[in-house]
Amino acid sequence: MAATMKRRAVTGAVLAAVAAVWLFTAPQYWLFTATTGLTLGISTLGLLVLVGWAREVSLAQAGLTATAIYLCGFAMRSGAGWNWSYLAAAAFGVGVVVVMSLLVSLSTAKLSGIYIIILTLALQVTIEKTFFSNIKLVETDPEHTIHRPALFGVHLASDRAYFLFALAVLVLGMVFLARLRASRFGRGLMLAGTDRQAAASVGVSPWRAKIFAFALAGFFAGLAGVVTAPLYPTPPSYISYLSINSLVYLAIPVLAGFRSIVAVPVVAMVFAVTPQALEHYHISPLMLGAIGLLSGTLTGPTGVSGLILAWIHSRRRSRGAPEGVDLRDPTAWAEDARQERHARALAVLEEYLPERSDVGDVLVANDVSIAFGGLQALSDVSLTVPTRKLVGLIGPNGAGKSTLFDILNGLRQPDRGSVLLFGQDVSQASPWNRAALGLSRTFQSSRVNLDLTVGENLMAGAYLMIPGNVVEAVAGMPRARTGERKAQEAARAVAELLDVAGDWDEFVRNLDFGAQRRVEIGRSLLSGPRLLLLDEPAAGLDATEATALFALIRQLEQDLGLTVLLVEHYVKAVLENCDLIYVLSRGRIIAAGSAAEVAADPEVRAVYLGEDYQPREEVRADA
Amino acid sequence: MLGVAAAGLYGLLAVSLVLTYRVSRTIGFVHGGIAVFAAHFYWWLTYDSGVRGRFNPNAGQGRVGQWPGLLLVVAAGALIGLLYGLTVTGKRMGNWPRLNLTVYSLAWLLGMIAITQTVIEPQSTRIPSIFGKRVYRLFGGVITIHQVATLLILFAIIAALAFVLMRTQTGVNIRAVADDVEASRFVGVPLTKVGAGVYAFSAALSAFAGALVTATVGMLVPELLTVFLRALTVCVLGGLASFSLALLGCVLLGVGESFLTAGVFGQSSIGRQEVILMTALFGLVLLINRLRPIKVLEVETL
Repeated sequence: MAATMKRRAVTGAVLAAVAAVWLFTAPQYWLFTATTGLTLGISTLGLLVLVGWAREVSLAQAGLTATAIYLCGFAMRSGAGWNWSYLAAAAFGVGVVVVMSLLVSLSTAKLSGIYIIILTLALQVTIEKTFFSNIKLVETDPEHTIHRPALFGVHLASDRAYFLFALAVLVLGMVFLARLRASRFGRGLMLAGTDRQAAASVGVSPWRAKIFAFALAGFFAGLAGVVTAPLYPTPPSYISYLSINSLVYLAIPVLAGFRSIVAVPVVAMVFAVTPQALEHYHISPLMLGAIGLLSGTLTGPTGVSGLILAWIHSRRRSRGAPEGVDLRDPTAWAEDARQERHARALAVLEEYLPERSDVGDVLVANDVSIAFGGLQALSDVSLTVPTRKLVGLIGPNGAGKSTLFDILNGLRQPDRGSVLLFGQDVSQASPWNRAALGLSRTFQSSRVNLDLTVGENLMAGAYLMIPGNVVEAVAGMPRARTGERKAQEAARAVAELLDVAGDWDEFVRNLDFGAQRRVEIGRSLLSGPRLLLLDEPAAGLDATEATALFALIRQLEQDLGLTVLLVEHYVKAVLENCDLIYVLSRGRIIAAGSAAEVAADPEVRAVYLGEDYQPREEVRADA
Repeated sequence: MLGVAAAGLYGLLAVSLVLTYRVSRTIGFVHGGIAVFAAHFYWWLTYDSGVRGRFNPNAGQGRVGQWPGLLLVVAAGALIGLLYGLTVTGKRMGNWPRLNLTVYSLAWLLGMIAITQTVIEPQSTRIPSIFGKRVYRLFGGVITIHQVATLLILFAIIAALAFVLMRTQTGVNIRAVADDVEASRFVGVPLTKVGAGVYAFSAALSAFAGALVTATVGMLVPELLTVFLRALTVCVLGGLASFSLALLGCVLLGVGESFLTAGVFGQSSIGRQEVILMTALFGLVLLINRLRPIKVLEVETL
């Protein structure tokens, strides 16, 4: 560890020394080109948030950057302009661009991404037809030049000073994004980008996440623009900010990948410098952009940085990570240690979870019906989930179980009927508002972010449980910091309970399906539920894992007072563990009651269990 | 009427976009690249300083005549579309998320523009229409033979497409893929063949549109991309999957443009006209979507 730190420190010092030497010896035109690379990096950091984290595509980043350049330049210019101070002009430029970006996202927040792509392209073209053709904004009259400002007593007239200024802004932007990424907002954004339904189920509003991502992208475009504006004595040509250039901007985060923030400015610098460095080869930025987009697409969302990080990760693994305690070690010592860890983890989770409900029935569905065209998926389904009970919902494939879950969770609106959650009518409430009341769910198929680690996936679930706004989160203020720490402890505890603690830093992609399912359940637990909906939690697990999982679910219900409603095809486990069971067939509840009652029901035996089904003796008599 | 005539300008590209959207559920940005490439290639073939040849009786006017040039451009477009279609409907990329496929399509758009601009110097000139210079006076306005011919070709293509889609096995296959890719695979629809074929045909159409559009807007990439954006916008009116709504969008756009240009709503700058037009079109899109209740939260972001 110490050797690694030392090696990193030496590498950092050498790089810093080389950069310093270069800064004082580089010809002026290289300094200038490098500064444009830095501003390109600032602008594309915004696209990293939008494309990499929120998985939306904007084709207006170049146009937005140029808008800030021209507006800031015009506001600063004497004579034809308004002669404002740099800071006022910068605030104006950034503000206008953020508003434009927000307008696009607000108008399309609930539409699918294709509309956003087209609308952003329309915005870009509109900018070209309006701002770029406004002679006052783009005029290059040498009489009306833009002077580089002095900030806090430091004059930025020289190219070297301006390079350092742009570098400082870039570094601040990177630090901001790194802090944001490590906060609940960054994780929520990434979860909403990967899977809207999963995000909504743990309390993240995908609409708000999208709008937030657009605002950030606009902010960084504006920031890049206002840093660029005083770089040139007269406004730069709009040729570099046309719609095709927006594609070049897009290529940078796509190529860099979403895992690394540093990779984005590095790729941006390569894009800025290469055409000049290899001038004889006629490498245009457009060609670089096309290569970047193609390579980025082929390497997947993690981009080139993801490949490098995965390589480093695999090297570390091959060197041999310290062996943890084998959780399946059958020796008495190992079992004792495991039970002790489980007890500790349960205690941490107990403290983390919000107060459990004392309402008699936590969930009541009344006469819920929904049809898909001519198919009546659910007909007048009524169901009650009593507090602190484990309730099962079984039925043949296509019975409508997952559709009912979608309605209870708020992902679908029923044609008729109502849903009461903790005594409140939530029939029209969004899934994230239901999550805020204490409802969380998992899905039939594994819905985890495969490109994130186990720890990151689990922490994404803690969105609602960490207090504080964006500023508090990024600045690391006490309230947010304490919440983050508690969530980390709870996430470790959940990982322990679900036997994925040893894989905390492992990418979920590398786990088997059963472990991925457990991570998803853990993410739901982290959202602080009072009622947990589990859609086929044992799917993909072997018999031992399924038994262990049901034991844990039972423990959560009994020791922590959680109410659980689950859909499961592993009938034996349902009959053995659930206090109340509903049977759904062809969109209707055909039976409800204890395990013994349901198992004895002739209709249930006819349509689901089979006439030969023999309820085992160990089916709990009280169930 | 002038607006209706202008609709043909966007219609051909819109048909390409709708056709490929139906089989891939992604926006075929590649068509924008093909149109730009076709415009430049057409100019290079027919108006760049070529040598007198067998097919080029007009010395110094280009390498080949306009009709052979147009045929070559369409063939080249079909070939590019075939290559693109084979990759995106193949085994490796067939199951990719829509975001990745869209970015891949954008990569082709950018790549084709980059290659075109590197190899062929962009020109601001408009190429005279292949259909001649004749103009017609109608209700006090002027309609060119180019507009009339483009519109007629558009209607002919739509009619042919309607026949193929509704009356032939190929059409059944295309509709099956459009409805459900997985189900089509299970019932034995040759996905790659159908996908690549659709891309090849639609790319040929885009190339054709790219060549024709040079007579109206010239060859500058931003102008060509503006036409492409217009085509995209009208497709959005029909949720990108309906030919008839896309055509309706073309007509609305064409009429809107004619009204603005003629100063029906008062004299305004090009920039203001653009803002008005875009706001009106997207207002319509948002209205359509608002009228359609959102019953389920979409899983995919794109």
